[in-house]
Amino acid sequence: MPAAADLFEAESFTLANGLEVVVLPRHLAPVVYQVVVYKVGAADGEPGKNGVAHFLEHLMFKATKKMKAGQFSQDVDRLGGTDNAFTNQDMTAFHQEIAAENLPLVMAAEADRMVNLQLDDSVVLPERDVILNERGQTVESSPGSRLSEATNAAVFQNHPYGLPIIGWRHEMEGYTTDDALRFYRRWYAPNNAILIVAGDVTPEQVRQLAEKNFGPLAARTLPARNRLQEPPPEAPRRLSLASPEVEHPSVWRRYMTESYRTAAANKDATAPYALSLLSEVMGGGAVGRLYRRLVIDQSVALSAGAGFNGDSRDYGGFTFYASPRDPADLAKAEAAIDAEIALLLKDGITEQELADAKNRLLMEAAKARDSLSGPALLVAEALAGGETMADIQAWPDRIKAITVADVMTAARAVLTPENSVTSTLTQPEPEAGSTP
Amino acid sequence: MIAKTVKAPLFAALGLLTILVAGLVAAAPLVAHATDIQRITSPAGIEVWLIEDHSVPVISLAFGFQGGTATDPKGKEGLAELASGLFDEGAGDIDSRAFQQRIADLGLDYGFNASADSFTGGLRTLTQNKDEAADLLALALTKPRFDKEPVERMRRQFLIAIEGEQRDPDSAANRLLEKKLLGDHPYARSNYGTRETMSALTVDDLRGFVKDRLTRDHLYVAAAGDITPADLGKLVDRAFAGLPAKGAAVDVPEATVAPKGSLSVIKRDIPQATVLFSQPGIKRSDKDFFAAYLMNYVLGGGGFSSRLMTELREKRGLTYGIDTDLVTLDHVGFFSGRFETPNAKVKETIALLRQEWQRMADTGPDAAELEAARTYLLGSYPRNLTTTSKAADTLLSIQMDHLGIDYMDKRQVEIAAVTLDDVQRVAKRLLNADALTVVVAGKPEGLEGVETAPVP
Repeated sequence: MPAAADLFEAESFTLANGLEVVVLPRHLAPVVYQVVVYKVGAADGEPGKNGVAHFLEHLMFKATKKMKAGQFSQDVDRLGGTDNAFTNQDMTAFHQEIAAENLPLVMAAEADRMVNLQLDDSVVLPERDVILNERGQTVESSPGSRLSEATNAAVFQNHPYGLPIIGWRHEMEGYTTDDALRFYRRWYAPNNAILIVAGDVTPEQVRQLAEKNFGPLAARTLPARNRLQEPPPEAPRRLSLASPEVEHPSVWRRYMTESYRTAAANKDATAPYALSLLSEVMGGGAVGRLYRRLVIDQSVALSAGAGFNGDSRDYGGFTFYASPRDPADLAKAEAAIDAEIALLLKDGITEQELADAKNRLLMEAAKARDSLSGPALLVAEALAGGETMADIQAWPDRIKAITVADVMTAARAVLTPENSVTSTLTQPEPEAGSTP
Repeated sequence: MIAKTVKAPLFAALGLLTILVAGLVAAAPLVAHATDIQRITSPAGIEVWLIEDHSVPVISLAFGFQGGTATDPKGKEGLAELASGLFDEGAGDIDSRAFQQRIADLGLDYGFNASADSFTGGLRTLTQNKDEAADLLALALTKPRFDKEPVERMRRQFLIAIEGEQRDPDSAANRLLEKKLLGDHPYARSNYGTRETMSALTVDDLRGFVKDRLTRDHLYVAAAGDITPADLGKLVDRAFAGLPAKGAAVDVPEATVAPKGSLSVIKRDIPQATVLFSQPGIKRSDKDFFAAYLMNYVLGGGGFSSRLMTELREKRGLTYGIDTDLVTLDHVGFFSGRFETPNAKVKETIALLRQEWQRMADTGPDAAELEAARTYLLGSYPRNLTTTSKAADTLLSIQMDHLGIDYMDKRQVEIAAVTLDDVQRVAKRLLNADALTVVVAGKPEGLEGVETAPVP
């Protein structure tokens, strides 16, 4: 197995005002990838206004005291770079990839919009139409997205992870300039942010530029994060959505888990690493159990797999999925998933399967360094989810230390019927007498 | 083994805009950084280009064979595509299941791609697994098994893709557009073939593909990452020296593009129409290639700042996005583009497109537009080199387009040398709104001059 040592050769430090800085040098190409992550997301929104984090992400591209609306993106584009942003439940991230000598420009612009954003109704209200349009295009006109939204609401009965990141339409229609400004002033500060620079730079170059651009910015007093917690689940949930636009029916089975952060806090730190390995055993590409058995051996599915995500702050998720070979017989594919779960809980996994899964995950981690955005976004997600650089560096050793017993303990804890939410996406049943 | 090094300086403070290799603006170079491209000839005589970088223990190989889907024999269209799915499904004594296990156990990223003119593949491995990876690749290319189960599984997947293409308005429009532009030329068809041809392909056909196409005389190889020239020479021989020396000639005829434009409609019951348009262009080797590329960037290649985006989206809200491309294939070239718009706006938007097209033809870009395009082309190129697989792929495409090992240097000089006169002349030479072939998929209202389209 590849050496664990220094996973990303990262160098990290914190400015006096609390800004965390992480540098990931890579000199293959004269390019840098910069990410500014604010440790605030949809789940931190006020009641009835959880979509404001995403709304603010949009508004961050408007005018500041120093730059016109859209000027930053135009400048990056003109110089041959790309820029974009995204919001999830726990973080809002702004990133650019550009020729290395333009790092001063992109860092100055991020420092500027961290504190100098200018918002009023003339700017905010048209952008509210844009996000409503976005909801229309990305959620409402996609049967898969609509089902996903409904599924999240069923998985999380109390916690804000059950709300859509973009917001509910009827609430979005009422977002105000004041909502956005309040969120901005409450959460956007150097001591609630992480600056990550990957690529053709030295840590010293980044330190100098960070001190120059972000150093003068004042820290804010940050509010406590007060998110409602989930009660224990009592009953399995089931959702179905049928739509003529569905090309390939699919079934999803989701189980709630701890996150890396909460598992560590609960002294159950091995569980997410164990589940990570379990997802590799069950769903590892073409050699995972689900693909092998459902797609190749039994030929009941066109695709099948499993996945685990533990990077969010408060909860993680373990998911099984399959797309049936016969579109009219989704039940067969679902039954096959049920059978695999039962077999897993009854007979466990083998030492060989675990060893192979560890090997594959460690090799993926070694290859992951061959990228600018990969390591940068991995660091962003981990830190925003409440993990530390030390956790990232310790990941290979923690994976290696997991035993078969660890995996089965974690599996039995989460793969229970009452903890399950099953979602099916199908074409409508043909009506009697309709034209084929 | 011979190694020749060509240094390609990516930063050069030579006044305004002289050296412009991969897109680094000469404006204020803080760091001088050269991308060395080494040309190596392996002990068995195979040429390979290398960008050597030892910072991450990973090696990417990119390789390609001249001759792609356009060389599929008549009646066997879809052959190259079907083959592309089967080189990781068993070879020699290793059956499909065991082969997939080997790939997973070695942590290989491994795959193939069939395009019109070439059949390419990529292999990314940790340094420690490079020899086993090369052995597996050699076996796959010389002794693929084509067992029944994986062949039928792949065929099923491609038949589903063919069905999807027929339903999808974009694909249907594209098929008709190709027919209108190129008639019966092998470029004018789906890479997957038809339901009939894909269903009829046999294992013998697949073996014929291997014999005709996967040979040393068609082969190009590039690499990037954690390997020295000497080791790369050995690795390349391990992977490719066992290939047969000669295959079948690549016999794709030159295409003649319909010189006169036309307008066709494929009726689809959708609220937003898809509109594809195209006219004759140039080939990659044309002496005016960069002038044409810059001109296209101004017209519609340049994202939000392009003329077409400004006129159609910014000013009039007629579409969410419109873009144009300079398409260059081995035997033909086009200016092509695409946009979507509500059915009620199709007539107006096409008229505006023609107007802007002719305006560009008549007067070309202005000085500011040319400089913005130039700056973008120079600044964006290094982003092609940020991972070992992108770097290897970039080298491979330079080789397969026969652009020369000093291309990254030359590119900067050529882009810098394009004048305003050049782009205006080239716009006049190449663009002609009357030559636009337009295909609409949707229910456009009030269109005149529509040719009857065949039932899709």
